[in-house]
Amino acid sequence: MTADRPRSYAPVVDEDRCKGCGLCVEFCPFGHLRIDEHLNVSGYHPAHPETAAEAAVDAQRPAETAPDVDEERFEYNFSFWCVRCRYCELMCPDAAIRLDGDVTGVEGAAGRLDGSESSALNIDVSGREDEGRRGD
Amino acid sequence: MTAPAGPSLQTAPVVVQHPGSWACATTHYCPGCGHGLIHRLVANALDELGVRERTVGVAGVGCAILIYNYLDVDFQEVPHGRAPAAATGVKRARPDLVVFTYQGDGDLAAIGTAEIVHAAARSENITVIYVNNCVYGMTGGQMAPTTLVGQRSETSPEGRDPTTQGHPIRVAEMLATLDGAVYLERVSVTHPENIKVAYRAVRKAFTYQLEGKGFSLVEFLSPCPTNWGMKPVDAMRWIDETVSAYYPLGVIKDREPVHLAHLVQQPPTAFREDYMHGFRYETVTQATEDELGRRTRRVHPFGRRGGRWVSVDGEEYRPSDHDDAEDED
Amino acid sequence: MPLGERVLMKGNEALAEAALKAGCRAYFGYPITPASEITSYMARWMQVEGGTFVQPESEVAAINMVFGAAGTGMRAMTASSSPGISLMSEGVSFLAAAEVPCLIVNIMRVGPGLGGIQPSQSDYFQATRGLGHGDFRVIVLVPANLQEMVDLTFDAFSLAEAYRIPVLLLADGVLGQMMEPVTFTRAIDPASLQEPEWATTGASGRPKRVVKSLYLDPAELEEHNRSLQEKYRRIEQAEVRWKTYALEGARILLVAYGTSARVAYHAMELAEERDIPVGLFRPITVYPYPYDALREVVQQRGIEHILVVELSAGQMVEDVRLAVEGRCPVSFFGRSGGTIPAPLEVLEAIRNVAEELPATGAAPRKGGAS
Repeated sequence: MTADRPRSYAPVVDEDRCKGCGLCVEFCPFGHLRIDEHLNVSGYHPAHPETAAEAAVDAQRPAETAPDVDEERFEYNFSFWCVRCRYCELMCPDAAIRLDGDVTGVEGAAGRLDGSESSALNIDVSGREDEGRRGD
Repeated sequence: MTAPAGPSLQTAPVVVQHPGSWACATTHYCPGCGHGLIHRLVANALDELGVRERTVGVAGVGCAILIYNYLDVDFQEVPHGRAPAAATGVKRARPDLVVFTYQGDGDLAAIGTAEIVHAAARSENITVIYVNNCVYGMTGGQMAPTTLVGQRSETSPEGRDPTTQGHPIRVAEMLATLDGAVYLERVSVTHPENIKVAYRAVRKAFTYQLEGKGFSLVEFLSPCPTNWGMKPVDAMRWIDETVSAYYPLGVIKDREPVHLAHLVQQPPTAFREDYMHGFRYETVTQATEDELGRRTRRVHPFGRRGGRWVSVDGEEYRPSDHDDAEDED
Repeated sequence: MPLGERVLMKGNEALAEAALKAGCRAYFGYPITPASEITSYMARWMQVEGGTFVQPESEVAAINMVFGAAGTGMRAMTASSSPGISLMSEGVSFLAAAEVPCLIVNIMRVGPGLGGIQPSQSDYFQATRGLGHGDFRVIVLVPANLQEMVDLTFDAFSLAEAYRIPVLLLADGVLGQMMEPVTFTRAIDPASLQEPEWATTGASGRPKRVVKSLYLDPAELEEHNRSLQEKYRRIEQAEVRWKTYALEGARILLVAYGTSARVAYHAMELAEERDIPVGLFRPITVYPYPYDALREVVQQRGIEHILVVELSAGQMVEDVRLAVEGRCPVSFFGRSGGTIPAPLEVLEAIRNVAEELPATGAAPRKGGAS
């Protein structure tokens, strides 16, 4: 874990937009997202990136091996784990969860759609013409 | 109903503030509804192709009636099922505009069956986004033409009985029988990789419109957690396991328009002149290569009479500019 | 057709030619007797004008194609006959609510149902009571001869655009099929028409526009309806048209429009030869209906009895009774089934009315229309 990683190197959830559908929770390959206990302004239970305490509940990732232990609820520690696959961002129907920060040049990250100004959905389709599909 | 206020992101900085096709509004859709995803795919495609400012969308009637609040393009809101007809009107009046319809399965496959079939048969140069969630969402979950056999709904409470309620309609396969239908693909939004495939399909459908190739339709298998009585994650799984078994994913049809393919195969010949009812018509049935090497083809709005020449990238081509069809390099 | 030249044309074709001359460049029509010639004419000549012609799969599709094309600001029209107009009902409601201008032509035939292919005037209720669901109106123009039909086609587009309202040209099968000399006096270049500031033409350098009729908020929708009604009041003030004939000394007033007005006119002449004092009031718009003008004629001319002549079971007669407000009795003469009454039949009805009039000392009036 390097000290100069930006703090926002992780998904950010817009709580007011989130409808608690749970798709991001399901599709994060590392299971880093959770559904909140509290309600947002619309009456939904929004998602949030897991806290250190929640990560500690997962027996495969005991808290003492997580480098950034932080008690405050929204100081996430899984910047160490997030590979920025952007699955959560892709699956969210409400664009409530987004990856921020410059994604170029980060190893393992999906690139941004060339030339697009839109923040609607950034999809890299270059060189993936034979991408398999789930559900067949 | 005014559009809800924009996003209220947490304090982390946002890298891209669009102007783009996507209006960033909070949607009225249920948690886990596929519309939000599909809207953003359409918006992204319009932005990647840079056509936002010359796009007109035609909204069908259904849950997505308010799409005009969520996409920043001109919209027309037309009666239930008639979006392909209105889109025909827009595209014929203004062929320079990019025209798409956004329709659900009640809109397109029930009340709008005639309109979609004939728009495809005429090979209208429009893009149809067809959202198939196997149910009537907006009105509370009644059976749709796409509801699966055995699926429960408000009007098939014991499950769809094929003996009295018939079998579901596979719209993409049905339209594939029409020569005018050029590109038909069925996609789903059940997994990020499927979403990427879906995006490629949407972008291809719009690209075909820009290339003047004719009618294209992308059918989305989309979840309706509320009316299916499932959690969003389970709804996605149900599409993967059950819905896509009846509606197979993939490219149903992707071909050059029949008339264009036909034209290309024949060698160019001179213009023929027909005399009919004392009026002189020019009947041209072959493609010609103009001096820039573009292929041109005759556009037949209806029947053999009249029509205009357009090149495949949409520019007007006047046969009168050339003395005869063999005048090319 | 060349301008300024008197040409003999079939009604349907004259109407189509007038629309082309008026700058209409989008036509969508489904064939139906007795209106099919409009579609055929447009199929041939719209191409020459560089416009767009589509024969759609139904009248339902036709009216929605009109919505799409007119929504981009183009002058667009459709033409049909009674059953097809019924199919367009929902579409017209949407057009009126979204305030999209267009021209709809109804070459009326007999009904109800499939009815027959003979002419009628039995769509008056449908035309004047809005043609669809909701609180709305369309302007309804009723020509009685082909030159008037040509001229009203030009006016129809102007009115539609000025008020952002669909306009219905209500003719009947006689007018559609007959041949009369017409003269086209002007041609409008559609390029000279300004793009409206509400049209969906691509949000280039401006905010997006939405042509819609959905207002989920009741307060917003009430305001929208209020503004529509206010528009209709303005139309009722400014766009009423009618003509009168032989009012001097008339005691009986015939009220008729379209083909029945032509028959009534001849019956009026026959009556004058027999010294029966008859006049004719002919509306040219039936929405807005000339209620005030008709009432004034009755009051100022001392009309004692009105005879309404229609090719129907009696529809406009109700508007006449509304206009007259009980000042004099209103009788009705009509034929259904597509039979066009001969002037002598109408004369018989006039005679029956005349026999009930109280005797006066007035000298018989000599013939001659005003």
